[in-house]
Amino acid sequence: MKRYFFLLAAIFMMGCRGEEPVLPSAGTQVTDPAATGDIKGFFLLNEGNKGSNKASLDFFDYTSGIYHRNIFPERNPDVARELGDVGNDLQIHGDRLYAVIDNSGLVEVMDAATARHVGIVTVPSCRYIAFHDGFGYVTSYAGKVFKFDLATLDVAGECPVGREPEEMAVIGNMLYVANSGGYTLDNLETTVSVIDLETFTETRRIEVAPNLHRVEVDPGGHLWVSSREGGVSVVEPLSGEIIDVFDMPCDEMALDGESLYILGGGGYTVVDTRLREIVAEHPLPGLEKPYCIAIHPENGEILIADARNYFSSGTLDCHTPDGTLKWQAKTGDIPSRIAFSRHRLSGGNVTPHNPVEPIRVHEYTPAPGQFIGDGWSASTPAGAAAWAEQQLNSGGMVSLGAFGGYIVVALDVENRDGPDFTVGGNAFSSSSEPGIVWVAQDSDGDGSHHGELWHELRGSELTTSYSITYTRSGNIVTWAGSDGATGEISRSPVHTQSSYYPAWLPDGHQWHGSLLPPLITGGGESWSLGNFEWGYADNLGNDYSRGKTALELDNADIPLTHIDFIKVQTGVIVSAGWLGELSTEVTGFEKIK
Amino acid sequence: MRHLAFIVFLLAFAGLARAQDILDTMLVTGDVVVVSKRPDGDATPVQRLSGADLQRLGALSVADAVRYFSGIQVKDYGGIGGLKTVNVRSLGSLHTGVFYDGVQVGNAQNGQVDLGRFSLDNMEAVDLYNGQKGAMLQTARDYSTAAAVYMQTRRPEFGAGRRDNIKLSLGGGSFGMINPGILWERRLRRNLDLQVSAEYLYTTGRYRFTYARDGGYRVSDTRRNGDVGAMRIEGGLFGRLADGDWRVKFYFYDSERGYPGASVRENPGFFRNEARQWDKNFFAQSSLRRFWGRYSLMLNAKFADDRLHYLARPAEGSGEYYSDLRFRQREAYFSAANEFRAADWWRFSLSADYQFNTLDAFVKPSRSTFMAAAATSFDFGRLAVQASLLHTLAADRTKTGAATDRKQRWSPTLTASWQIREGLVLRAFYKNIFRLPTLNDNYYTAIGNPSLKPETATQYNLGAIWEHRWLTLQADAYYNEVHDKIVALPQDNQFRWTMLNLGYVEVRGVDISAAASFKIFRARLSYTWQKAQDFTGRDTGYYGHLIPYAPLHSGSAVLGATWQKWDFNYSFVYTGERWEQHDNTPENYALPWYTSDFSLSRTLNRWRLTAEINNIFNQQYEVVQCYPMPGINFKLKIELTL
Repeated sequence: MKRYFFLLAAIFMMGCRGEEPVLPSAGTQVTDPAATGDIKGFFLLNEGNKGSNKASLDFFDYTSGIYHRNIFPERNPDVARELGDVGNDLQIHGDRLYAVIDNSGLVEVMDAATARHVGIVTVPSCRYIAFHDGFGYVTSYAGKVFKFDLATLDVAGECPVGREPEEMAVIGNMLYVANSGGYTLDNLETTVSVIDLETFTETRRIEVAPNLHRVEVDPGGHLWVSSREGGVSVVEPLSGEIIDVFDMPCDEMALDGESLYILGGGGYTVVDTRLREIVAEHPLPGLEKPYCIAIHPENGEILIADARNYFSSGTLDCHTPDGTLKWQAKTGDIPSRIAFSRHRLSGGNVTPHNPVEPIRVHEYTPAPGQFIGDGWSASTPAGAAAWAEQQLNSGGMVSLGAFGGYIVVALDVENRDGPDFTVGGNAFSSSSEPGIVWVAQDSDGDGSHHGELWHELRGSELTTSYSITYTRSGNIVTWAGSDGATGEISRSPVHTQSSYYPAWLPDGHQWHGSLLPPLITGGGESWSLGNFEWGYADNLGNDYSRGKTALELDNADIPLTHIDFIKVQTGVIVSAGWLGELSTEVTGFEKIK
Repeated sequence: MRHLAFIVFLLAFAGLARAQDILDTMLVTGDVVVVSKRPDGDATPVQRLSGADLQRLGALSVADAVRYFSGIQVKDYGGIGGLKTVNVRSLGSLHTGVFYDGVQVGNAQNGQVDLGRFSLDNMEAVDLYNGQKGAMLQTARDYSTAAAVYMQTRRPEFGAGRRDNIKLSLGGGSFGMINPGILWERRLRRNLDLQVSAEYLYTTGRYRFTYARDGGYRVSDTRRNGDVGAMRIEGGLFGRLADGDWRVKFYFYDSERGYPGASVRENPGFFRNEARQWDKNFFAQSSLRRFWGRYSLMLNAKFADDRLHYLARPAEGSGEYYSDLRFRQREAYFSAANEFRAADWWRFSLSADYQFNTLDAFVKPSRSTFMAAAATSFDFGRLAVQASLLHTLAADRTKTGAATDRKQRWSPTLTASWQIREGLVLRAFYKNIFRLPTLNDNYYTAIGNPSLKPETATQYNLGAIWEHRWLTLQADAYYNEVHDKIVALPQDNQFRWTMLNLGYVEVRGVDISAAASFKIFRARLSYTWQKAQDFTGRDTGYYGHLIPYAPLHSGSAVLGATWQKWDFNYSFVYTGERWEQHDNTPENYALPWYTSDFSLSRTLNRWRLTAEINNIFNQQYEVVQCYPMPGINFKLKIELTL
């Protein structure tokens, strides 16, 4: 009988299947963290193949240099079927982010600071969005422009235009709509519809070219309208006169001041809209299917997304204004639109069943360094710890400064087989900045790390005990080591804060710690930072993957069954010329379950 | 004489492949049993479901039945009406031939053969061959696919003193399914039988489905516009000659169905997929065999006429694309196959086929295909070797003149089997075959590319079959390469695509199956481990990733028992984790799925009653992304045999 019971049990087990989890986003360090102006990052909308329900949203954070892929599900686990099917347009207006999801027939409205769901606007076969005076306007392939109230998200009207309308532009009180007629290749539309927004009625149509798609307005008030059949026409909006035609393929356009970037024909062309002259042509030979272009409004960097073969992940290239490739990221399927944001994305993972434990920072005592006090300030140790805590819990990064600088976090970890916890860093090839990891137990049970014995986790190298004193003189910081060595923390032209010394610490503070052997080679313009084999935070060793070092409590100096605190300390003292000092960076701490 | 031959056959061989041949021999040649010393099927793996085993699965169509074979994936768009195609050993569904009573079912337009349309109601056996069937007397087309599914319909058989067989059946079940059928067989003369069968199937296709995320949303909805109404009428004359047999068959299928479309995020109450499709398929085929001592001849002819009407008439104001498409395909086919026995251990065969296809659509291409195959087999007792060479010549013609170049190819196959000892046979085969680009690949408006090369598949297989009393085990390891895989790629903008010979796929796999029958119990298990990887290019971003929908692990189990007049069956199908796109990223990951089906039937004199519960644990799963499958469902069937 027992045998049959097991058989039955086995059969019933077969019936139970877990559900797919809410997908977490995936962050990748694609470039160095950088100081920013008002623009803190951008959202990128991926179309996804029609019928695959794979529209997705990515976010790039300039402050951390991290590209976050697929951020929508984790922030909106209760929005059924995620972002939807075919993401066609993405824009930020006010504090809200609007994603036009074509084949789902809706505009997903989100909070621009968190990318959390606010509501939807129903528009069948919706294509593009524009804003004016408290209302949003959305083109629909039903041959209409829909108007909705930005406050209530209620549809406030419909205005018939040409067949299969595409992009729009607002000039004054008029809305210009490019009609494509793209469903009937033998009977294409050739006009721009002009809608008076006062009455929300179509007042006339301007004859331009067949199969119109993109629309931009230059600073001189001219309309630039592209055709899918090739060609960009310049239209005087009042008279409806076509004043110029650029005969070139155009998939997308992006305006940067008076420069219009036209993507098409496997490259992009820059047109001066005032002179109406081509000023530059850039082929993009490495790309399969350039699909989207955007220009950073402050630094002029050019973002170009490649949809590749449409059936796999796309890529995003960031070029400096002079056209050299700066960084590259892997996007979702068919990257289609970019919207720059003045908010750093916050709010992180909100999946209730898989909560990532918030990190509690007990102490943050960095040594002087180029990131210390850059864009933030603290006047007390508690303030510094609070800043670091906020940083780590919002997907940001904390720099520990030069040798000796450290951070202490509370995390109870049990010693199990294999790696027990991870420390996140920003190491990439030839850019390791190793930090030594220490652990401690809360032996007196007072919840504080003060007075506890720290145990160093052994790594691949022999370390020596070392201490160092940093001294402020003007905006220069000098150091003196316990072995008599001296030096200076070099200043970097990109980090211009008045002092690299932690403002909340007394001058002449001494840092103690363990010192690793030097690992830097090179000189002049070309420095190469090596890495150690294993056992250190922010070090591209064989225990480092996906931005995290996996560490084992078995490597502590004495056997430990569990720990309550983790300390990471910059383990090297070197300066790499213009790169600045070597300082360990941490991005997070996690238990391995 | 006949019985003696049969017994010799039984004594010499056993196992699945053998059972296959016994049945094949009996079914196909009727009274004339041609027995060779060694069954030809041994060298290429063959799996069979037949007779009662087939009926017990609770499957409605051939597509549901072939899921129990190892090494096979069924792409299923859900519900009774959803398209169901088969893909063997990840070579692609267009490399799998589908044969109906010995003649290939074609679709020159897009190559897709929907196995969901072939009812199990009148099916006697379904076989899956890797490589090719090992018989010598076969058409050139039998050599022309990388793998093949053979559907064998019922042949008239009469009990002693009977002249008529009448079978009435009525099925019904979940989703408004109703399925009446009738079969009538009559012995017209001593050597001539008539068979007529008809079947009607209707379902609303309205089933509930749920999408949920652990820790997140949970939504349920009902599948709409998934109704199917289909009528099948089939008839045949089966004649026996002194030294051979002949038959003539006609087949007519008429259906209307809705397209439920992909299930994606939508506004509540806003439903747009109103596309419908009407199919009218007709074919007539005839076959003749004659045997003269050492020489045998087989002639086949077929005419097929397939019409398809697709209409997408979107709701007012939906902004969806309207389309109204009509396609008509016709095929004429002739084949002559000859076999000559030079000695008991040495045989030759030569076959020649001619096939003419037309398509009436966007363009009006026609294609002539000539196939000639030569084969020889040697039987040295324990060792048997067969070699075949197929030559194909295809030429297209279009009214606009944009026809492709003539294509010609030589396709060799080599098979060998070696009986190590009683009950244990080792087998191996090598096959290099190709598929022609479909007429859509070549000529579809703005997409078709007339300069496409054929897509080639190279297969290597090494396996063994072991039989011990009531247990049979088969295991095969294989390595396949697909070169010049035809893929769609976007051109200068997203509305313009083209077909290119770009893909390269390597497939490594192991198929294992076991069949056992012990007292009142029987079991059939299959398992496949398969690694089908895309090696198209190092810079694709998915170099070495598993190709879409190809799981590493899959398997099935069928357990049953027959006790007095009761018959119980449990079937289980498992498909492991896989990815829905080229990139094996978390967003493209699909969970494993597995379903459990139960059936119970009881015979009462002339009546037979069957009750089925399918997907008993109501698992919410997808085979193809965004096409949800039905949850738990029920079926009742009553049959009366007169």
